[in-house]
Amino acid sequence: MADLQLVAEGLGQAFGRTRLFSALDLQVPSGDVLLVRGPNGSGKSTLLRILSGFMRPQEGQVAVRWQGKECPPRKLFHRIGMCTPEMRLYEELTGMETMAFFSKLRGVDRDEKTLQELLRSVGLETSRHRWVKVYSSGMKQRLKLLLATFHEPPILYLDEPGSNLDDEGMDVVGRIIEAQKARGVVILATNDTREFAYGTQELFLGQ
Amino acid sequence: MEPKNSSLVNEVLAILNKDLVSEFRTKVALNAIFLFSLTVLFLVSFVVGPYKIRTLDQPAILSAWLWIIVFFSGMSGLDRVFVKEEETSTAPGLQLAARSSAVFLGKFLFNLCLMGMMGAVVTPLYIVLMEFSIASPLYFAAEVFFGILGMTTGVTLIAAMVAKARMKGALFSILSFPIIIPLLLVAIEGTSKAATGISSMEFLRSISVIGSFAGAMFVLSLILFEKVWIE
Amino acid sequence: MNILVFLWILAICFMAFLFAPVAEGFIGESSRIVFFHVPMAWVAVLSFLVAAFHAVQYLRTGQDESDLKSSVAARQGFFYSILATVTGAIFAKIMWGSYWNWDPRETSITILLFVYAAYLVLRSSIDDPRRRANLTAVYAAFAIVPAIFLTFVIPRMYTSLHPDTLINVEAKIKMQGRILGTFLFSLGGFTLFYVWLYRLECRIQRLISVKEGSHE
Repeated sequence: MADLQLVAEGLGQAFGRTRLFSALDLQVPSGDVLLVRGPNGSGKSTLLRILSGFMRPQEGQVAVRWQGKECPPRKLFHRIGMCTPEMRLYEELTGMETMAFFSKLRGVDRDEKTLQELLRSVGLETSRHRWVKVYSSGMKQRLKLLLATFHEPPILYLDEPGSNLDDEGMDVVGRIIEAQKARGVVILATNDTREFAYGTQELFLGQ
Repeated sequence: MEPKNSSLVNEVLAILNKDLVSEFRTKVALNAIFLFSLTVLFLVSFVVGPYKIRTLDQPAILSAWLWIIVFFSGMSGLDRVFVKEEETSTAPGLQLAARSSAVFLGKFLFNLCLMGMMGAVVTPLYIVLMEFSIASPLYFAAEVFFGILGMTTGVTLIAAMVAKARMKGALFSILSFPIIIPLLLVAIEGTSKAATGISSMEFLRSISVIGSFAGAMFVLSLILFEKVWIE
Repeated sequence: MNILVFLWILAICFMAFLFAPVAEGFIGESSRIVFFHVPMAWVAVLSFLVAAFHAVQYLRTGQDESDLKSSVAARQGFFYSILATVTGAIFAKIMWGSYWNWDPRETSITILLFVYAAYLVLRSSIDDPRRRANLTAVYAAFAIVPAIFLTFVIPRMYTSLHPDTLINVEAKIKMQGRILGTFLFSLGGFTLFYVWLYRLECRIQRLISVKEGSHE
């Protein structure tokens, strides 16, 4: 996915009377990690929603350029990976069932052995047959990160990926971001100083 | 740009399966629907029981009550399939991973299962408790089935809409009623006629009206669903 | 334009009560209600068509203007459908002794009223303007199916107490002479009135949204 590029032109968004950002231009080529920083309420999550196609911006547009073609990120929903605090897991399914469900949806039908391996890579193998409801917040976060990446997305959107994670969990985040850089693009919105080092481009919101 | 690897059928089945497993483990909608329908059923039976309804009026009145029970039972549980996804914030994950049409179809089939189960339990119970004499039982059963099918096609899209509008509960009934009422009218008439005894011609005419209504609702729901599901 | 509408309405009243004779088969003067009731029902349906059309436009283009036009039509249609239902009930009371008879046409216009009411409830329950426009447009578009069924299919299935209407099985016009003339005149007048009031409210709404927008 070397020739992939996430491009934004003239993005503008207001929340009520507050202007979050305007005339924002972005170019994130493959291998880059766009770090979006800013105080709470500065519009980091909103920008992520716009860049992933969940929300239409009031001004400007977003496009993904890939293999000589261009399309809005919405058309690539099934290929992108996203992990935000607003997205939650199905509490009454087990870890294994969750993986099976989403792998079926995304068409990466993997057998039980492979899914087990994937769960092991984030340290969830032993609890894979227990309901997500009983997972600790750190375990849930790791499962969410796995779900955002196991289908090898070209673009990965992360909003506060290190929340609820200890140092060991942060290693998982680091590995994920490194792997993603080789694959495509990372958009990382965070205030966690541990994650600042990952960015290759920086955007500071909320002046 | 890149086509999806999974087939629509697989996605629909995956979603249906997930919702069935989830519902079986939590039983929220199931309880609501069954509790409501059985409660109203017994209420009607106790309250009306001592009074004798004129044999002439029997089919019409008893049909009407049956569909009232079916409609409001549906209202108490059919929105859950979407509302739950919004309330527990699992909707975004689903929006990303699954095709919109698969989400609609999977959840539609789930609602159909719920209503089917309810109909299969409540209808015989109703017939027994209310001493409803039915001349053409096969036609009657078919009318009930098609009526439930039609109702489900109508309200599933509305359930998705209600989930996105924060004020749930009563909103579902308010929005569903005007849409479903033509169907209910035909269904009540159909079951009433089946109880008194009708010709195949009349039966087919009734079914075809219900069927075409359901078909139109279904197609339109599929077209409009994405606009509701993804902003 | 305003004066034309005013004069036309005045003329309708004059013609309805003084110019046209009373029709046969009706009790007393009650047949005169056709000059008011039917045009109101017609406008209620027309407004729905307008609302549904603009709703579809909004879903296709996402233009706020379409949402505005759709919601104005819905709001106005709501009032016309109330008027139509009420005048219909009054007529029913005079002719058959009770306000409500479960006649299919009576029921249809009432259901249209419920559709409008549901639309307005939905509209008032969502704060985010884009989501509100989106969902109400979907509802209006979705309501086209029951509307079609109510207008065309249901009346044919059931015999009706309703006096023969223009939309009847034989599609023949049974009114004569002065009555027909007055009726058509009234139909035109009400339509004109609707168009005038509709455009007026659209302008008002546009001004309101501009005023709200300029506050930012």
